[in-house]
Amino acid sequence: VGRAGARNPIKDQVAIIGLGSTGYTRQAAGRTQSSLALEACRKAVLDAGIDKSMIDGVVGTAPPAPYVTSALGFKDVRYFSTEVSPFGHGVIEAMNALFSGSCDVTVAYHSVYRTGLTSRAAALDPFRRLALGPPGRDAPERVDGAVAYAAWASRYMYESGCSREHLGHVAVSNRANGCANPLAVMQAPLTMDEYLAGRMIREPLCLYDMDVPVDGADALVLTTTDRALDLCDHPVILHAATAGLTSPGGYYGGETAAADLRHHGQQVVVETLRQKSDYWLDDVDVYFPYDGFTFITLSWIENTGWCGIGEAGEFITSNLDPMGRIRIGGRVPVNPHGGALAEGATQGAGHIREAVLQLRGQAGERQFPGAEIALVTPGGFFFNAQGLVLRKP
Amino acid sequence: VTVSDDDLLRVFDDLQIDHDNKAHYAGWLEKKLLINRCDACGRLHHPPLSMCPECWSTAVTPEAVSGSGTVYLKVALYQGPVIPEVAYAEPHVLVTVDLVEQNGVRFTSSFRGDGTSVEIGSPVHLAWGTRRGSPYPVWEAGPG
Repeated sequence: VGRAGARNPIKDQVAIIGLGSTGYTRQAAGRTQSSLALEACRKAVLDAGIDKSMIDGVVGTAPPAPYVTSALGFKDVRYFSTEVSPFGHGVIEAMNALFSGSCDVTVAYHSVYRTGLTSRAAALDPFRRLALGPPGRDAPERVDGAVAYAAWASRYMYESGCSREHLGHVAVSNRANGCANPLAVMQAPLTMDEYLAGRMIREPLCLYDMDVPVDGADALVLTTTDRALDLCDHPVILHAATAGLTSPGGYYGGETAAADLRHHGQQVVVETLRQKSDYWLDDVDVYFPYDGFTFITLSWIENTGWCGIGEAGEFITSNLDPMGRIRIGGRVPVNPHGGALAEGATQGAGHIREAVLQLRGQAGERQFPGAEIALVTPGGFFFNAQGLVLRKP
Repeated sequence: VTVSDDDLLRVFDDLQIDHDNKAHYAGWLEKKLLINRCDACGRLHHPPLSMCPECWSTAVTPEAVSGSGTVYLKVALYQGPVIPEVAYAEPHVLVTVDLVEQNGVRFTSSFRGDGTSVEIGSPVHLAWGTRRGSPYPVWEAGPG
C-alpha cells in the first residue's frame, strides 16, 4: 500500500439495527426491481422497530435514493446517495454519513434484477423484454465483466496450479450451505461429479463456477452506536470497513490492463483492513469471501492470509467437513448462507445480511455458536473489492 | 490515418468508439495496431487515454507496434455475441497479449487457428482478418 498505518476514528461508532430481505428468485416474478427494493427497505425499518419518521438518510443502488425516499414516504431526508454495487459501498457510505453527522438513522439497500437478456425466465416477462429496446450488437472480442473474470481465472490457474477440482470445492461447499438457507434459490446440493460435468460457458469457467442470476433485494437500517444501544437489543457494530482500488485496469472495461494477480483491489483492502481492525483472522468466527466466480473466493482466501499465495485450492481441500463444506481450521464457516453461487447473485448483499444474522445469533441451523466477529470481503479484483469487520457489542 | 468520425462509426458500429480511441480504430483500416505512447515519458498505455496515466502529459501519440507478444490471458467462449464469423460451433478463443514493446501493455482479440494449441505463455503475432468488409486484428500462433 505504501502508506504506514490507516486511521480508523469511525471504529465501532456505527451499528446495524435493522435487516430486511426479499429472498431471491429465478422465476419470472411479475414485479419490478423497485418493488423488491422497497419491500426490503420496509422490512428493514420494521425489523429495527422504529417509526419511519426517524429515517433521515437514504443510501442505495437501484432504484435511485430519491425514488426510494418518495416511494416510502420518508420526510425530511438530510442525506441521500445513489451507490454502485456491490453492497459494501452503500454500507460504507451510510457509515460515513452517520459518523459525520450528515444524518442520524439511515436505510441502505441493494437490489438485483435480471433483464430479458440475462435470463430465459426473465425474458418471459414482456415488460422486461420491452425494457431492452432494440437488440444491440457487440463484438465477441469484448473482454470485460464476466468474460474478463474468466480470462483472469485462466491466469490464476496457470500461476497457482489450481485445478478444476479446487474450483469445484468452492461450488460444492456453497451449494451444501445454501440448502440450509430458505432465502437461497439453489436448495439442492451439488456433487463434484456434477460440477466436473458442468456445461462449459467461458472456459475455464463452467456453469457452476458462476453465480446465479436472480431478482431480489436486501436492506439495512444503520445508526450511530450510542443510539443503536438504546434502540436495539442486538445491534451489530461496524468495526472497520474499506474499499480497494488500484491502477491500471481498475474500471469496467479495463480489466485486461490490470497489472497482475498481486496488484489489484483485494491487496489494498486486506492491507488497509488489517491496519484498521483490532481483530484479524485468529479472531474471526465466520468468513464471507465474495463468490461471484469460484476462483474469486480462492483469491480472497489467500490474499486475506488464511494461507499462502497460490495455495488456496489445496488449503480448502484440506479444510472440508464431511458434507464438503469449507470449515477453516475445522471451525470457521465460509459463506454459510451459500454465497452468490447458491443464494443468488446478490452482489455482496447476502453476504453482509448473513454476517449480521450470525452476529445476532439468528442464523437458525446455520448458526455458528457464539459468533462474535465476522469478516466480509465483497467484490472481485478490479473496481469493486471491499472489506468489512463486523462484531457483536 | 484520415477517416471522418462518421465513417469510422459506420465501419465499426459494434465497437464503442470515442474521441480518445478513434485514432486506434482508424489504424485498423490500414492494418496498423496503434498504441498510445507518451511523448514526455515514453511509456505506452492501452486502452487509449487522453493523457499519460503515469506522468499526466497530454502529449500522447498513437504509434504502430510490431504485433509480437506473449499470451497473458486466455478464455474460450462457448457462447457470446453471435456474428457471421463467430457462431460458437467450436469454442471461440480470445487472448490478451503482452506486447513485446512494454511489459504489461496488452491487446486483446480473437485467436485465429487451433484454439487448443495456444496457452498462457505462448508466443503469438498479430494478423488481420476481415469483419464486415474491413480489416480486423486477430492473433495467430508463433512469433511471426
